[in-house]
Amino acid sequence: MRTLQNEHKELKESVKAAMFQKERLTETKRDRMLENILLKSHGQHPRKNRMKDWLSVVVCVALLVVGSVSVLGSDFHFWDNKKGDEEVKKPYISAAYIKRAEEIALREGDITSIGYYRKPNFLSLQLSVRDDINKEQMIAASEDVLKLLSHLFKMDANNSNNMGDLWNYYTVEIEIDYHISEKNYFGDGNSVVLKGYKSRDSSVILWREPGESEKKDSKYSLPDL
Amino acid sequence: MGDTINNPDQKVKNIEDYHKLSKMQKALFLEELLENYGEAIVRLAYTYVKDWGKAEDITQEVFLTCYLKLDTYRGEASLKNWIYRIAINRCHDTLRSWSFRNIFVTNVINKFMRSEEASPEFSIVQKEEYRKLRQEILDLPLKYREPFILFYHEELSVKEIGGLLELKISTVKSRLFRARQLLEAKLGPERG
Repeated sequence: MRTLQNEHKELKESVKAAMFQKERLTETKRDRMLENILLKSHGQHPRKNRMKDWLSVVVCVALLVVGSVSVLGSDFHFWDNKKGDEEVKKPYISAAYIKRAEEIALREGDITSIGYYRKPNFLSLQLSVRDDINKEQMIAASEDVLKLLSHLFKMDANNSNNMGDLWNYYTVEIEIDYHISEKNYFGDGNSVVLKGYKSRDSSVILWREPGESEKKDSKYSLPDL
Repeated sequence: MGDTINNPDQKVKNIEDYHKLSKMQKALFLEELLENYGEAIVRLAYTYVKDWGKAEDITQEVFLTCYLKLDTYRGEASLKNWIYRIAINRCHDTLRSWSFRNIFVTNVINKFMRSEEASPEFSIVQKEEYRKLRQEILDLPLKYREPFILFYHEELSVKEIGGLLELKISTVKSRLFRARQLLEAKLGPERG
């Protein structure tokens, strides 16, 4: 009987064998491509200079307009600073932060991998966990990851019930599955065992198992991704 | 420069180094990138646009972007993934462009009118089974083809694919499953 691993390996080999048989980018083509790239990149310098010229013109016009308004004593407001300030304050969760959090979480032992997906004001975390831990331990490990990320941003919680102030800026969704080898994945795509959701204005994570109806708890409605 | 020549990832670990390189060294570095990733990128691009000429144009644009923007590479992802990201974005732009759709339709019509003949590449392979598999993979809808190629051909992990395509890992997994289902339906269970 063929095991899943064998099937997976066979499919990989078949795809590789079927897709491409000969080298497309021969040495001659590569040399020509290199030459073209170098020629094109040199051609970009005059454009840079033109950009500088245009930038100077725009800056001059802007200074002229701002200067005129100041002289005339106008009380016009060109923009609303409040919104801008809010945007500046919002911490940006970069790949580097997730990577750092993953390194630390891995040392703790329950988490085996952290994946993420980000949209403005929304973060989805995909946590893989050891297959011998129960749901309570999964929840605890997930909360630790959220606290850890807040800590990395120096936005620790003011009280112990909170996952940290970072989550006042991001709505977070958590999907947990048991650790599987990501290079040899051959499942049906439904490996998530627990899902959590916390909106920005809430201090708790709502948890449910994938089979549970979302209607049970009207607060638990995921944004359309 | 010399000892790291076979490992471009190693070479750009410290991004400040790239600023210090002379024009000649940058050109040599580009040559190394082309040698290491050129073939993979042209093949990847082909799985999107299904036209070798266009795939080579995309590859050239990708490496031009790399050459001009390498100083913006922050090292958060591997250099390979960074280049793949640029290539995937470029392929998406091409597929969206009006001119490409126009060329693609023309090619399809020409192919139909020419009474399709086996390409030289196919005559080398001479394996009907592989030809079928290849064709069915290329005929998969883009949203399934993309993760399928990256996973089975480029051997990236589901996590890396999620990062490259800006998709949730669970979405990548279910698209891989759906792609396999579609192939199985087309080719029969014994091949899927």
